[in-house]
Amino acid sequence: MTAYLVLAVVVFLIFVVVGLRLGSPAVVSPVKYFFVDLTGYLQKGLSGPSRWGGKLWRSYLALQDVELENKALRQEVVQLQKEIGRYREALIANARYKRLLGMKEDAGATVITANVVGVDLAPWLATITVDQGRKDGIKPGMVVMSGAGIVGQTMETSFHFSKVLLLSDYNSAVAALIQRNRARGIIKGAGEGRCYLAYVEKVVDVEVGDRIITSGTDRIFPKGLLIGKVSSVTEGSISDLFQEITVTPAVDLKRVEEVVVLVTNQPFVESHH
Amino acid sequence: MKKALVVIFLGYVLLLIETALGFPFQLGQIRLDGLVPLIAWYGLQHSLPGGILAVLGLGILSEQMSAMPAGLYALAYAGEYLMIRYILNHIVCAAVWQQIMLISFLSIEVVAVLLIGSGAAELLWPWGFAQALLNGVFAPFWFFVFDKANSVISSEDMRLGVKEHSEV
Repeated sequence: MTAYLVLAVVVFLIFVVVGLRLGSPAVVSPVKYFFVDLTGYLQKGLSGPSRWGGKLWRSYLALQDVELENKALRQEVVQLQKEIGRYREALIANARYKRLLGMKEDAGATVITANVVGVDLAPWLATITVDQGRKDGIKPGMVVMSGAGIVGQTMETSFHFSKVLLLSDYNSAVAALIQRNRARGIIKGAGEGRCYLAYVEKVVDVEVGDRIITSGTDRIFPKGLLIGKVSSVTEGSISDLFQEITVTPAVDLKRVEEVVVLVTNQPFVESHH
Repeated sequence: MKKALVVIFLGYVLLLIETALGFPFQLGQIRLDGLVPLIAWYGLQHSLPGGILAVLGLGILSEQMSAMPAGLYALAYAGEYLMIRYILNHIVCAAVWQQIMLISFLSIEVVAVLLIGSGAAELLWPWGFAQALLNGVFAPFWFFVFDKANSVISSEDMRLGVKEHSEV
């Protein structure tokens, strides 16, 4: 009898906690955010030395090939300068055409850099904690990027820290298109730093190596940001409507250490004119 | 009460280490986890109803460090604690292999609740069982650590108690 009573009390307590969190977030939020900030600082203190050690080791490795790399980089700089010249021309032409068509410019975004201080407790959930929060203007639903491409979006923010939902999380979905043929699909997370491109019909020509970019139709990610490249394509069984396309993200989501958050006051919306 | 606070403190330290150092402790969809052995170790020594409050506290703390649905960690850990209290009189947990078996068994419950509750039931095989096995394999190490931490805290208490007594 006592055991049943205790069990009932336990279940009741769980319901109270869940109910408070879901039903009255305003009651729980201040305590929660205080706790998230406190934990964030402790995580930052703990992850700092390992991050520093990792950087030191990579710097040492990098030094070993520095001469060869310098030579290759100088050649690359020359190539890139040529390309920049061409892109500048294209940009000017693009602005001119946009003005002619009366289209709006993209919403301006402030860029904030942040360090990764923690990962999700559950290994199959791909979320990270970064050391910038509401005080820096970050809100849920903002774009998070790294040098090579997009990382994910902010999902929860306290005063000093934010949680980021990575592209590879099972709950993540990003509107995307194949850059080469403009075919649309949805990038979904597949866990372990991997993604796949869903809802691409079998008639669409998709090749390994195709670049996948954001389409801008989800009102979170602006159009044209690099997501990754197609790593395999299979047609699936005869009853499948869509192709099975795996995508390797441009950013190594399991090793990301620094990110930038695009802080905007309005959502990125694709212009339809 | 003091023991409950010690367990919550130990759990918080483990949570911090596991989330701050993250990926080095992770292999595929499994990770070195000290929380499940901690709750089992606590459940072996501390009875209801006071014990369950510390376990719920640990569940709520865990939830803040994860994107898991609300209440899931509390439910999984409470389930583990109640299971160990229920089977307490029928088990012996002195030998290493017995600890491994016990923690593997309890881990299956925790992992199943967490995976099914978060909509990732397909990971139960093989990852869920691999996680349970990993928890079991490391259980003797964790039990040793918790016993040591407990004895250090207890001896510190005794020392302070003696000092206070002599001051009086």
